[in-house]
Amino acid sequence: MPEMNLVTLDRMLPGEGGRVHGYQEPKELHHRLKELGLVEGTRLRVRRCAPLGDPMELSIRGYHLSIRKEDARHILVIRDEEPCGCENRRGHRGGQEWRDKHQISK
Amino acid sequence: MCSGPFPENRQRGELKYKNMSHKNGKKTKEIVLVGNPNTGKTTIFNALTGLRHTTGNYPGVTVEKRAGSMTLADGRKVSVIDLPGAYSLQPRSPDEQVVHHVLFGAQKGMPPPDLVLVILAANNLERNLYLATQTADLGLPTIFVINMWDIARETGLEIDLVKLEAMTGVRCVPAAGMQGTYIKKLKRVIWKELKKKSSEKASVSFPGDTSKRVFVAPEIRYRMIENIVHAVVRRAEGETCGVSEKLDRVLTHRVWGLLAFMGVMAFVFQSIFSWAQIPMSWISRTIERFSVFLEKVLPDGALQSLLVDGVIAGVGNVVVFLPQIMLLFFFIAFFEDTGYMARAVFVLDRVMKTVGLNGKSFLPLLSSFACTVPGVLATRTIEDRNDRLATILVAPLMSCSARLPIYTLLTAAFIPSQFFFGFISLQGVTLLAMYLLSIGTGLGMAAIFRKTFLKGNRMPFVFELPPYRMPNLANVFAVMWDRSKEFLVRAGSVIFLFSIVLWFCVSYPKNPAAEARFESARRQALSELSGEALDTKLEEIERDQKAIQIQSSYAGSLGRMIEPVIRPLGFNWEIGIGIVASCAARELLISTLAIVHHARSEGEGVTAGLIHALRSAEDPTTGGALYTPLVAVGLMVFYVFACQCFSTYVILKKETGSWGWTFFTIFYMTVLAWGGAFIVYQGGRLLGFQ
Repeated sequence: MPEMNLVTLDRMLPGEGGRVHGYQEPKELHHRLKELGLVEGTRLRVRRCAPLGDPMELSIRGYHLSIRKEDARHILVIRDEEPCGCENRRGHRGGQEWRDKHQISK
Repeated sequence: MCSGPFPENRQRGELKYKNMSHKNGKKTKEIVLVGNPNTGKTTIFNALTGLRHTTGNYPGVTVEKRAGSMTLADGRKVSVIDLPGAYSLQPRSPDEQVVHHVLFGAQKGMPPPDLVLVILAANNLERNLYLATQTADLGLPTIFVINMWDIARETGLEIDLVKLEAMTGVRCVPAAGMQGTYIKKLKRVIWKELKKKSSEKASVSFPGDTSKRVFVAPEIRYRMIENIVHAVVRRAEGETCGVSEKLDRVLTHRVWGLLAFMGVMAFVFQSIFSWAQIPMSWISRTIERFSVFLEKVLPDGALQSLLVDGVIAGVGNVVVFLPQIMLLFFFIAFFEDTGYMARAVFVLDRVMKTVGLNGKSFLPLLSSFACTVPGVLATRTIEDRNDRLATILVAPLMSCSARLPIYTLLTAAFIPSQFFFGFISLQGVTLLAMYLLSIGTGLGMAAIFRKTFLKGNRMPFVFELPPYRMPNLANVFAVMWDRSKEFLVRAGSVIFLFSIVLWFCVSYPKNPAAEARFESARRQALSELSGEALDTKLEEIERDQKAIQIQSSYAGSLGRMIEPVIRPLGFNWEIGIGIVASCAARELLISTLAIVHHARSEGEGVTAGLIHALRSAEDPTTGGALYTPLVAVGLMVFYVFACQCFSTYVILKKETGSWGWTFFTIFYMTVLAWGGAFIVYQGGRLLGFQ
């Protein structure tokens, strides 16, 4: 079910990868995000979340970017079928519970 | 969005340029360095200019301008300017505004540069190429400097420079920080590029006029860049899981990360408050000795008094903080250079968000506990205007080290040295309470400002987490020195002027009748007494004279004038004089109170005598003690909040760019100070305290 894999970036867990699909209700604010490389089609991976759950660290275009969840909420991502593994999944508050609540399958 | 004013600005810039070359006949060529943050741009700048450079400001903005010069192969000198780091030519921050203006020739007093060096980090070529290709599209002569070439090689990254040159049409040169061989080659290429005739056609990636080319949509530019990178970069298989990743696993870990952060901050604080004391006491002793020397050399009178009590005392108050400030700047530069700063911001952002600030506000606020001035200067890294302004406005509320002498004096004098449970001292708790009050109020005010007139963000809070690297100590010290010098010049020059004004206020008008009376008393003592008795008597006369003098001065009259206002706080006119005289710097309260209360300086210096004098001071209207513990606590709270510091006024004006924000800050802090002391005094009396 490919449409199930369309999520907003803030809902992704550490270790998961995907491809930028677009922006929700595009705003002038997003221009900077695009300039930093988060344009449609860009591959990204969530590396970790900060100790207190926010912000999150992304790996894009060969570098690491920190983004707040409130900003990540505007970015739509097509999540990969399988997480790429090898990352530690700690540092994310209530990952599994949250996933159950929003009924998102892997 | 920003394309409207460009053509006009550009024309204006060119016009200026023509005028200048006409006037000077020949003009030195100008090179500018452009690049993303964390590309080692400043290292290349230092290598080219040999660490000799001047720092200043771009007119009208608080962006640091670093300029130097380098010698070409033919012995000609060219000037080199290190522009602030930027991610795009479409400006989002004051820093990027300057980059934009300089490159478009719209910066006042600066013609468009003769050559642009774009510094790119080899290990982050893709995003770096965004700004680089934008810059190339300006059509100015451009060189791409691919920095950190050696590191990239080691990690198995290969970049085909010939292909990169062919695809971008721009000369590409490798570099590795300060390494001489690369720098030599770079200098040669610069020389060759500058020799080229300007009529040669620049290669640009997109059609249309300048602003149309430069500001194509990010999607389109990145598509072009992806093609370039795909053809040019060969990466060793698999993502590198190097030292950086291992360090990050600890330093951003939910437990170890927080602990490491607290450890680092404790270390910084410890060094600022205890190690820095050694050079600080050394400096203050030197200043004292110098004053004594001047008192001996110069004849008694207005000039001596002006120099010793006015200028040296005033400027000394600033210079004494230099060790703390230099240490602070050293740590900031060190954390920035190693890459830890970004991790600290990453770890702390969630906490600062609760009061409407962001992770980058933390360090400026922490610095403000040493001194507001470096704290406010450190806010320059905050891109968002509202975040930055809110941080600046509350920075003076953080309890700086100039308040500490006031707390220690008043607690020592009026808070009983009691212990709870045998080890918690009441004096210690009082001191801690002052700090907590300052932090709590500061963060609270920040939250209020961000919810009212500094609402909302202008851009998303995103920042890069660069790979960790070994710090370049030469760079770290250079940055520390630049910023410390700026502090000295900034604060020192204005303090110098204000010190003279303040000196005048406490020294004039003279009271001829009293002067004559003291003079005759002195003559009488000289004729009647001798030996130790004479010395004691003379000292006593001197003390009384100083006390009468300050009371009849302009500051004294002001102190009496504000008495009705501060009476509800339990303060009388003597404290009023202290408040007036400490407008320049809070610690002046102590020396002023010492003069007003005829404090005797005893063996252990002024403090013991002052404590005695404060305890025995009487309120002439009631006959009771002037200072009760309640008044002392009220006075401490007053100084937690009051914005009594000229250096702060100066830095607020410079960094906010407006007197409006400066006066607002002084106003709201004074209101807080009055309100706080009122609540303590009146509330305390209602509860039956004394």
